Amino acid sequence: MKKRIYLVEDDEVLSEGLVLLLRDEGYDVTSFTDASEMAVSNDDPPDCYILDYWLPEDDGMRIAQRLRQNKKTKNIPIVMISASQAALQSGENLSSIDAFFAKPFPIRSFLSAIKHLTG
Amino acid sequence: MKPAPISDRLLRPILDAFLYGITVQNASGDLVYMNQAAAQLMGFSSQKTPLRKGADGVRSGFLMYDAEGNHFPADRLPGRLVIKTHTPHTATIRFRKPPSTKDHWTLVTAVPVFTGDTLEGVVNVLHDYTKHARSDALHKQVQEHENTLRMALDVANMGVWDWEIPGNTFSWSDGTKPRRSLTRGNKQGTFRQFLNHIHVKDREAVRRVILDAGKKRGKFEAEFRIPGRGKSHRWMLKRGEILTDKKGRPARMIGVGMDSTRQKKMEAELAEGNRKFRAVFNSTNVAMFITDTRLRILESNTAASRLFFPSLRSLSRLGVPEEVSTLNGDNELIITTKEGVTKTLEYRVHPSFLPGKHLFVFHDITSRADEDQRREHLLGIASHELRTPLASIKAFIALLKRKYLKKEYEGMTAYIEKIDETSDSVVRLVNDFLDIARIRENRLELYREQIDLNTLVRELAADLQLTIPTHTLHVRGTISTPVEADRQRISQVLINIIKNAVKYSPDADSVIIRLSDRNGSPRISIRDFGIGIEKSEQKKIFRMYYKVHAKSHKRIYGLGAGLFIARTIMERHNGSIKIQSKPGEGSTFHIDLPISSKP
Repeated sequence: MKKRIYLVEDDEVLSEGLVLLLRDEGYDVTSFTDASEMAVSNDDPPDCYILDYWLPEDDGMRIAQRLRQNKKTKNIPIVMISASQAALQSGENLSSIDAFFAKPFPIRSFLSAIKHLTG
Repeated sequence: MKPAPISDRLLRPILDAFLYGITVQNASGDLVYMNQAAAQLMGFSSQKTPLRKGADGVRSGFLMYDAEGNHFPADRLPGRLVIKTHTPHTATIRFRKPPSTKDHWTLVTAVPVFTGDTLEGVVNVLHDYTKHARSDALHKQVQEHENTLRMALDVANMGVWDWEIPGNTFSWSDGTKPRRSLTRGNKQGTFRQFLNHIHVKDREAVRRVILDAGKKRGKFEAEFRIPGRGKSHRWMLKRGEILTDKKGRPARMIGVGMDSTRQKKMEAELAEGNRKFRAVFNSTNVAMFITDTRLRILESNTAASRLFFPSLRSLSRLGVPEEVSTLNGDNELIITTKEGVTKTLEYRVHPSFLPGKHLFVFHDITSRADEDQRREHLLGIASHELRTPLASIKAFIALLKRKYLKKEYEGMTAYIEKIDETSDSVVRLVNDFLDIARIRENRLELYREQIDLNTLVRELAADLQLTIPTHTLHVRGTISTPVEADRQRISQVLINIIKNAVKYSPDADSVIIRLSDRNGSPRISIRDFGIGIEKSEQKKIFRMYYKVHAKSHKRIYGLGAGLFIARTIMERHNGSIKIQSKPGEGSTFHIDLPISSKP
């Protein structure tokens, strides 16, 4: 069975590129431009979340924290992608995420991290 | 005809009247007669006292010297020699009769008196010429001294003046003409006349100085003008001293004068030059310091005290290196002023502009630096905005590679690789811009964790080796202590240096990365066998926007800020990065980390 990934990224071009790559890698990818579109209380959560740090309505870190608080999603790996290193610099608690990639990231290591986390 | 013998009674008064001393000894040397002059000369109170055997008039206690001042032995007395040799003798004897301290200069002539062939006795004639000897020698001495002094005074363009106070006779010279006498100037008159000779404006002051010195019996100095033709005047500097008489009253005032016109003129020129320098020094808005060789501040101008803390004692405190020879051209310095404002300064040093002194000139380039910073800030924002599109480009390139890196699309492969390489250059540029913006805005922060450099360096080298087909990366040695450092930033530095090593050694095939404990601190040395860097360039490569001009090389993408960023990262770790290089032999970069880098 294919591994399922939820991708939340507001930049449509990047979102499209990543979706195509991940599908090519054999993942079942669902993409959202906003976290509100993503049903957090989904009874059937994915195998991995990929979240953009900066989103129009919400920020990735808050979503990550909500996912960690939910019984059903608390053990699902979260990969954070960000155009800024602010997430790192602010000294925020990074314990809620499993991997962090600053844009533009090397595709090879990005994909191998997801493979490792969903494996 | 034989002359009639003169009776003894008649002879004695005649002999006593003689100014010369005359003594007679018998053949045994006993003194049998002396006239009055001889008795006086030899210090006898009466002519009869000494007439005893064996005593030729030389009393014990007599001190006798020859003309040169050596001891004169008694057996060389002319009288004794005459008795021995029967021939006349003469000698100059200086003798003294203690307790008197006076020397008598005496010419002694002794002649034998015979009766037939038998020596009857000796007649001595003593000529006391003390007075003449004294005045002759003294006169000669004085004359010699005077000549020397006069020559010296003439050479030094000095004059003499002499005021004999009781007689109010003043003599002076103006120091411009040779004098015939030491104590006489070529002008003479009363004290009043001397004063009249002085410029009216200085007259009263000179009078007061001299009279004051007279009252205090001391030395004095006065400088005054002597009117010349027209409006010109000469400056004279006179120094003098009061001589007192036996009763301690001022009797004479004597001194030397010097024509100080030239000195005065030079002083004035010097003062003018100094005033001009001061005016420029203090009115410019360029901060200047004069320091000693240890950079201790000797002098600073108004602009400097406006800009820096007045308590600043040494430029070393600002981080200016003591080895000023390393500071050629412009150097940059960032300071916080007393108002708490951050300023960017550019400075230059003129080493040893005076013996043992350096001149430092500081320009405030804050506005220029601010502009740079604004530009960098904008670039930072722009770069930030470029990140997401670049991520998209990279994603689509990856997709393209998947589809077209196959045999049937052979032509396409090269294009895709070119796009990929170019996008990598843009990524590097963007990262450099962002790093510079972070450094400038002091936002470059470190995320320290404990790192085993052995593992980090070996893994990193293995990763890099995949992208470097031309060179083999050899990792050697070990580091025994772990460090507290930012893994990503240290990796960034290493990647930068290793890539540079490859880039600048196109004809070599290896790069050596050596790990060692240098005095217990971790050191990573990266050695290449490339073009190397001139000594004069070595300092500059760590500055911003520096790029090695290698004509044989194709243009290399990048800001040339890589080493500047690397240096900053190492400095934030309290570590350092240094270069050792010889043109044509390659370079070694040493990356040093402290044992425990504390934040």
